[in-house]
Amino acid sequence: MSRRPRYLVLLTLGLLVLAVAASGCASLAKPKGFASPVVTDEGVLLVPSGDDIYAYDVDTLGPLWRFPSGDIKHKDVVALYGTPAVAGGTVFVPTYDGKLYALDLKDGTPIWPEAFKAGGPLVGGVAVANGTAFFGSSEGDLYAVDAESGEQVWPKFTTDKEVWSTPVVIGADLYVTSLDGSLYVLDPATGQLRWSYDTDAGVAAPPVVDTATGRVFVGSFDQKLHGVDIASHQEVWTVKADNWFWSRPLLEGANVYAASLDGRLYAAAASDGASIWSKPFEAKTEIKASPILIGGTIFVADRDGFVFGVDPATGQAKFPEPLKLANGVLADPVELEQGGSAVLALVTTRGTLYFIDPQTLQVLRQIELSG
Amino acid sequence: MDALEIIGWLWDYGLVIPMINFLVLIAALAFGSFGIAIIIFTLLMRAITWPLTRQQLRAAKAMQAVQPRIVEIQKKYKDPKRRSEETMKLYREAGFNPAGCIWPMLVQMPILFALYQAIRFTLGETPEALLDLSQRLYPVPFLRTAVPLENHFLWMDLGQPDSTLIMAVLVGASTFVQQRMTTPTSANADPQQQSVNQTMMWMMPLMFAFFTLQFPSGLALYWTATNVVGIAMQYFYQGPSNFSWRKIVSIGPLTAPTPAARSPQEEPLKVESAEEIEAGDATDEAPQEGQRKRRRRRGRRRR
Repeated sequence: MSRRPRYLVLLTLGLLVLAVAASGCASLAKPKGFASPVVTDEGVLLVPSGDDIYAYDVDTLGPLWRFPSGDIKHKDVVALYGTPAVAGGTVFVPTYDGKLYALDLKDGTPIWPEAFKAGGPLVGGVAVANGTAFFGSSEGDLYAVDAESGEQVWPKFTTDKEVWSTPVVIGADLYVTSLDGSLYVLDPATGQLRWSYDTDAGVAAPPVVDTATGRVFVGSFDQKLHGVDIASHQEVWTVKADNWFWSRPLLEGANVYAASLDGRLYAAAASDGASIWSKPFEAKTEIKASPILIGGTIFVADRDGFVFGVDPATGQAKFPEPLKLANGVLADPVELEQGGSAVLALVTTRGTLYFIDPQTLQVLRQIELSG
Repeated sequence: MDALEIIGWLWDYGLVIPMINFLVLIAALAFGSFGIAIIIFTLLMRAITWPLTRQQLRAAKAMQAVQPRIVEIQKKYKDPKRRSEETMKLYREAGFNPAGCIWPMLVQMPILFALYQAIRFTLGETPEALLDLSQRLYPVPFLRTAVPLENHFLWMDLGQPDSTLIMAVLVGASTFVQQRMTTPTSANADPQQQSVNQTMMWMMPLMFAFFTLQFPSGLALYWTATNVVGIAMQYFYQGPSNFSWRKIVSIGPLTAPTPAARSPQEEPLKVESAEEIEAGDATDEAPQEGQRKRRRRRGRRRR
């Protein structure tokens, strides 16, 4: 081989190694988590961030505990996506490594001898009702686990694709959606299927049930918000967007508000789906976090970290400028009460916890969550 | 926008995002199977790059034809510089570019990298990846409602590295065979050079096999499929009679046969260009006629 071809071959190999090494530095996307904070009746603010869950006192914002806090036994806890649930002094934490942990709300210590191991990563949150914790997995299974013992209550219910939403228990019905495109309604005591409703694409958003109108609202990847009649199991109306619905719709009074990944907030009458605004509210980028109503204002946060206050009656911005946070928001915001006033709390993708005055849209305080 | 941002924008909007949408489209038409989509994508890419492949095959054929002449040059000139000059002159006459075998690899590289990114987005293994995908699909309802796709194909999760060694073996073996078929026989009897060539021949397949263990198996599926198609293309293009499968899969180096000694009165070997070789093969009305022509050429050389 002459010198020139040899150099070219070596150069090619060198470029190949360099390029593949550069790609290999981020060879597979690392899950980061976007679980939402929870405020408990006991005055504890639980904030999942990255691989950890932090507990703060609501009144003082002093830290209470952190899990897994470097505990070697739980070093495999990876990325929290599903919103934890709290019932009877126990915090149920689903993790991306496929385990459900039950922690003591007082100090964050595990209650069960071993975490419950599901068949795949847990992305959706947990619903607790009648002493049973319900949650779905990326293997497409819905589990029911006894809240005290951590033992499985009934055989898992299997769907065709991932269950990435949080189940909802209303009365004697258990509602859950799946990325196979269906809403399933089960008997929470036995796991038996009562009925189902199919959309045209995957569903990652949790359903919202309106007992007043007898409707259940389901946002789907078919770019529609479906209003389904519970009695007849039939679709009553749809609201069309330009991208997927992923977040939980907000039901307030007779209206339902749903945010889409097209960056818009839609508002419709719960009974017939009629639009109550002249046009949807536009954020800057896609909206994954659920809207929240505090003090007569709907707050939405988009993926770029812009927080907007919207008039629920007109769909107009209530503040001249949105609040720009340092990082994006994917987790749902929560409302908590401090000093007799309502405060909007949300956590960004980089682990900063913000407390915002809903009257002025100003940051009151921020806490950097470590880890 | 600075230069890097522009390049990044062009990479995303010019290659990765169209590839993502194309893959989703094919998968949706293939009943949601991403594995079948990758195979169809491979066939289409090979069809599009056929002119480049054909050029490479013709060059390889030309290289084979001039091997005896290269041996003569090696023996005639002791000065390495003169030897190199004469060799390059011979290549030019034959229309062969020594770096020509590199171009198909260089063309495949951006496709491979873009496909790697496309697989990461399309299969949405993490929720963040699925969120990112929502912003990369064209505003066509058919595409938007096609995801999430079925990421299991045969025994593999296409979004994850293959936990068995099967794909690593397939990637390594197919890369090795493809390389053996496209690398011309070496007329250089220098043992050191042969050792270098041998190292190159083994390093690439082993390297790709190793990478298979690190990256999504969808990528390995693409690489294996593209190798298999390439092997089939070359086999049929060059003709079954021109291959010795035993030689291809053997471990030893590929060497040219030692040419018969010629007397000083013999005419120098006629150097046929790649086009002439191909034209000569193409105008043969029957294999026997081709064989008769080759016998006549040999006869002319011996006189």
